[in-house]
Amino acid sequence: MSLHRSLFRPISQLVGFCFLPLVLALQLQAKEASSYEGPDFSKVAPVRLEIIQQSGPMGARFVRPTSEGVEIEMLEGEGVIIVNWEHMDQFEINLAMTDSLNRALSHTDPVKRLELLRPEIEPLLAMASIKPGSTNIHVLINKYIKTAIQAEDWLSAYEMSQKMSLDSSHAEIVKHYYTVAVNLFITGEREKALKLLDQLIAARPIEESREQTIQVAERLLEERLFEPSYRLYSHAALDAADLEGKHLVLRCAYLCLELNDLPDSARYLAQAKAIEADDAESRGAAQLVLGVQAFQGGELNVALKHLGHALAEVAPDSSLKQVGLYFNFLSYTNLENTEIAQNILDEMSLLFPHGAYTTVLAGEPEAESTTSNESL
Amino acid sequence: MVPNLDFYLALSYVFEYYEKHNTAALATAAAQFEAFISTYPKHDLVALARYNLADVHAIKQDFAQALQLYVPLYRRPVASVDRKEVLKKLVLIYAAEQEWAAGTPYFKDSMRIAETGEERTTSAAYLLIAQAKSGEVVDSSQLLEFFKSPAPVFFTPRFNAALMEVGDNLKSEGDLATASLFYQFVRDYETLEIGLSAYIRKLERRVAKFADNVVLRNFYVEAKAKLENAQADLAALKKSTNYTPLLHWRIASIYMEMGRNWEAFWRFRLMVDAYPDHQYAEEILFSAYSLGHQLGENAIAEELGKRYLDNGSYTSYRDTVADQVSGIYLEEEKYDELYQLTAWYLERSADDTAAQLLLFKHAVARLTRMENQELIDDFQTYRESYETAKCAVVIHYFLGLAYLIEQENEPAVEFFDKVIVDSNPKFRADASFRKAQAVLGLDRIEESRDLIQQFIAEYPYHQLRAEAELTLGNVVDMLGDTDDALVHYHLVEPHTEDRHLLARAELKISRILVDRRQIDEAITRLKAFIEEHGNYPESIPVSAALATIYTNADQPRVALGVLKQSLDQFFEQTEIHQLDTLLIDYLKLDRSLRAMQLGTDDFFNLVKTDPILLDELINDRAKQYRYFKKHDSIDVLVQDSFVRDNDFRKAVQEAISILEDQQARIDTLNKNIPPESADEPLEDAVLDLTELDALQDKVNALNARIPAETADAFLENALTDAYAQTNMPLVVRIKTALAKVEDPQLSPNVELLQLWDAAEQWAQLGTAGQLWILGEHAKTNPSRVADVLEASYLDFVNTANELGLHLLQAQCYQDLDRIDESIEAYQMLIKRFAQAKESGEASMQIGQMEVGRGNAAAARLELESILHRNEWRGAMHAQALLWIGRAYVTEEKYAEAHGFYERIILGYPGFSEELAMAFYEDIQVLKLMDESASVQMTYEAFQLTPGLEDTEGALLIGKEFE
Repeated sequence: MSLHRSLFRPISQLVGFCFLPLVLALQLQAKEASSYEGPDFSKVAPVRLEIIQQSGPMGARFVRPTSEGVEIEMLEGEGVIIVNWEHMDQFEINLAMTDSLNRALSHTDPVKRLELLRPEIEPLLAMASIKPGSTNIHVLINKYIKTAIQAEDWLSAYEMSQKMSLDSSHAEIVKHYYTVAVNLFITGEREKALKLLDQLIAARPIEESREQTIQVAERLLEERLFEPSYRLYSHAALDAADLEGKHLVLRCAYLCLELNDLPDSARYLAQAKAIEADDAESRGAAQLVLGVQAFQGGELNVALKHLGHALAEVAPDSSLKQVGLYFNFLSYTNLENTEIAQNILDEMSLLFPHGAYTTVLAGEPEAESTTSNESL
Repeated sequence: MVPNLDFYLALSYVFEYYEKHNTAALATAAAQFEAFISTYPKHDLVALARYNLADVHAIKQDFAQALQLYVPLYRRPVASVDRKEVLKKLVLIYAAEQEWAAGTPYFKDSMRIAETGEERTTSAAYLLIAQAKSGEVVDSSQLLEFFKSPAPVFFTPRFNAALMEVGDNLKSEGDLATASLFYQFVRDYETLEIGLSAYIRKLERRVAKFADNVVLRNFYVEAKAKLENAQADLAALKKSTNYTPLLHWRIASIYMEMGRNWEAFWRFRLMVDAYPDHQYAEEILFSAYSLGHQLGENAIAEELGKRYLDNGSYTSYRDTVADQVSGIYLEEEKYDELYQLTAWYLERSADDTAAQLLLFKHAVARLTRMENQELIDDFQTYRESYETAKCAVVIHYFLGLAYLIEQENEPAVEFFDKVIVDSNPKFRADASFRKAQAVLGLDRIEESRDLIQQFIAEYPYHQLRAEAELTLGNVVDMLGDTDDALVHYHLVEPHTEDRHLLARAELKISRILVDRRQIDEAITRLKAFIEEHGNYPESIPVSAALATIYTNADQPRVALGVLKQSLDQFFEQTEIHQLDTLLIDYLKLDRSLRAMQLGTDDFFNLVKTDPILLDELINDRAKQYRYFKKHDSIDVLVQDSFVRDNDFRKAVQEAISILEDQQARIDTLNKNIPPESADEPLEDAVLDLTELDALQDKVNALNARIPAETADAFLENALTDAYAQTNMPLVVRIKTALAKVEDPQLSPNVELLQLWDAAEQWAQLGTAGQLWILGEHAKTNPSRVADVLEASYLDFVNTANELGLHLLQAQCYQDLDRIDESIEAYQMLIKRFAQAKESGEASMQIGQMEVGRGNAAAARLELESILHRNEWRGAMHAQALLWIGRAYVTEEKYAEAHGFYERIILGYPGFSEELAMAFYEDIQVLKLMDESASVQMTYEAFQLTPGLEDTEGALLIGKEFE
């Protein structure tokens, strides 16, 4: 018996096809944008799962993931049922909650829990694309990833991401990978972090990933991880035309300066200027860019002028506030006005005690910070 | 009575209040509950009665009484009263009353048992304030996260005012960074208004929802109370329109205290546009302006300052702003704006100090730009309107100064007198000294001396003391008391550090010492000055003077060393114009020394082999005079030896005598050799050259001090280097000097001529080089030269080339037939360089031009000024007389013209050209007067006058009579 329902193309691909010219245009602008290719499931071993059909339980069957869905093995070896990811509603597919699985899930130490869950959940990762309503697999994978995050085992979490289809997996699962990517950067796994971010950007629809992308980009910016932050912001800023887009474009302009890409910074600044809408945040951001530009050009008094303007505009909890104070500190330091610089550092330590910018200044030997115009 | 009935009766009044908004019912309720409590102290409902009574007090905002009831109910809970509700009310009351410390335990309890996030946040916020007010600041990162919360508590003015107070306390304790943190998290007016309005709308919906629900009356009551509180908050907020500006003001003040002026500035700057009609808009604008000015941002300060001044209602800081803006105009060279501002301000407030400051800057700007006449015009206008205002003293002072500079000394004295008697003493001392200068200009020398002495006595520590001593020295010197002059010149040094003044005094002292033949002392002083100030250009004239003294003392080689020392110091600093003249002096002296060296060597070679010449130069005084006059390049030591050194002369004479004796004997012997003898005649005797050799050795020893490298070689090498480094200013300096030492002066080449098209390079050239190049261009393009000179006028002022500028400018205008401008330029030359010879020539040119355009009276006035100057007697006086005669001729006043021609004929016999022309023109005038006899007599007189043959006048007379 064969239920041949696997020939539907995923809707996201259809959408992508319909808007091909737009996608092309966007790709031309976004240097790193590329299409996502999911993992190869052809060699993934089948997993024994409990299958319940509308007509009643089918019992435990071997289930093998494919790029289109799953193949459920028939009992008598009479073939397989091929079920597209989009049509799982006729089945409920669960992993049996064994004692060992329950024990693993209830372990309080995340490192140990991760270790115990690995043999149980790892084989299921390829099936993360199953709809959450028709399975407990989603919940288990989610817990598995969260355990890796709690254990701060970012490499394991990264490996998990490479074993599931990021484009068809549920957003609730995938969103954890943004956190993973950020922490991969922080722990120095730059290549893996970039790869994961690129995959996420390529795999997830813009409307879904946008919010996550911006949050992660902001976090990366706050962590002074300029390159990945720019990668995300530049993607999110592709179609910038409104005030929100202007905020993103201006962040790109700042990040380009940090990455020593002056022409692109100028281009972003011009793009921002062309967007008429503005608010205090965007005015502050534009001034910040000008301030950083002047600082890098050694025009310290001009830098102070723009930075002062920026700091008067942006909200006290804005990440740009931290950046503005940081360059304000450096400008005063380079002008050998150490007392004022110390005041600024005091303010940064109060406002952003754990901020990466504050850490850099608080931890940096004074001599270096006073002799360079480079952002540290 | 039935206790329960009494209780519910009392409660019904509370309901009545809620349902009918009857506040009178509350008093009845309170009375009924109090009666119930006192009547039935042990009744089951007594706790509830206390609770309701507390509620009634709270509704009436009688919080003290309410607390007296709520607190025991909370501390000793009873089953009938919900302890959580009591706690909520306690928290509300303590927060409303801002009794933060007393409320702390309740805020803590409330946080702990809060059932909703909103409740917890509210209590936490109150606790935070309580802790912060007692100096306990929690972890700021948590604070930050906490403040981001949108909980309604953060939108209450009460909370934010408390936060602001915490900031105030921290600021007063000096913890600026934390104070800033608290201020920054105070929500501004707009945010509060939006937040509170949204909260009110939410509560209104909730009140409406439960309004008629008897079962959920508590919900209704609670929501209504919250709504009323929020409405009261909003109303309170709307009354405090200063709220946001005050907040930013506080933040800015923190930044100002930290020295972070840019951040402070922008806080105010953004407020300027955001609150243009604010009660404190003037203060806001002034603060922004003031910080902009403090930051040295002229563009910002100018824009804000103008904005302030343009608002007629802003007067509190008008004087400060006007004064500072005028300073910006001066700095930015926006002179027209400055002059307009002065006039504008005087119209409004001529009596305040800013008016005086503006006038001062206005005058300084005019004086700096050499616009004396314009200054006089402006200030005369002001004088008419503000003669009695407090600023009049400044107007009078600068009028006096401008007239003094214009050498219009009468009005200068008049205005200085006004300043001296003015009640404002600020300019009195200056005016006293300037008056003395003006009096000196009027040739009232003794009076001037007395005035300066009086000035020094009255203001011994005045900054003009040194200049006064210098001037007094000059005055008493004029009066012939050089001893006293020396005293005053010496008094310059203790009263100034101005090197220019010190150098001037030193030059005066050395001049007197030289006059008194105290050469060594003069040299010692000048050398000491150069030793101390040799690194500054003010030492250049001193070096030049020292070199002159050495040269005059027949020590030209030492003089050359002095010049070279100064040259080496400043050669490449092309902006130091004093060096250009020194360079020419150096070049000339060096060439002269080299020529002397060669001439002297040639002379020795000659006299050593020519005993007859030697004998003549030793013995024949007339021959000596003629020979050394003709061969003036021979070393002075040699000349002196021949002319004055009798020991030398005697020794040479003896050597010549011996030679002559020997030669005589040899001649005799040779003569006696028989013709047939095979003996060879004896050789001629040889002069004993010991004395000449010794003299030559002396000269050579002296010449050893001359640098091996000639000045020309030095300049050639420097020129090569300057070209290699494309240092065009230095190239031009060298080329200019080389050109100017030649006679006739050389012209610049094409490359240098083209420099005036390269604006950037042109601006870097020294004024001497510019003038040299422009002089050449003037021959073909006087119009453009005139424009260039006009544009670079101020660069030339007070340089050694200023005179050249005026002269070239006048000549260009003359060539362009722009007579008025030419005369103006010549007049400026005369005014600035009255003592220079060019000044007489300028007067002559003016006279000629005035004659040319028929202004005979003006011409005569100018030409007569030449006749007043004794130092120009001779040809210049003769020419002036000639032109005065011509001026009369244009007016057909022939008799007067004849008088002037006759003065030349009678008084200037040695000046052939002028004399011959006077004869010719006198003859013409006499003809016009129809005086044929006189014509004949004049002609005969002409014929009898020797030496006129080749003159232009003679040619003209010849044509006429022959």
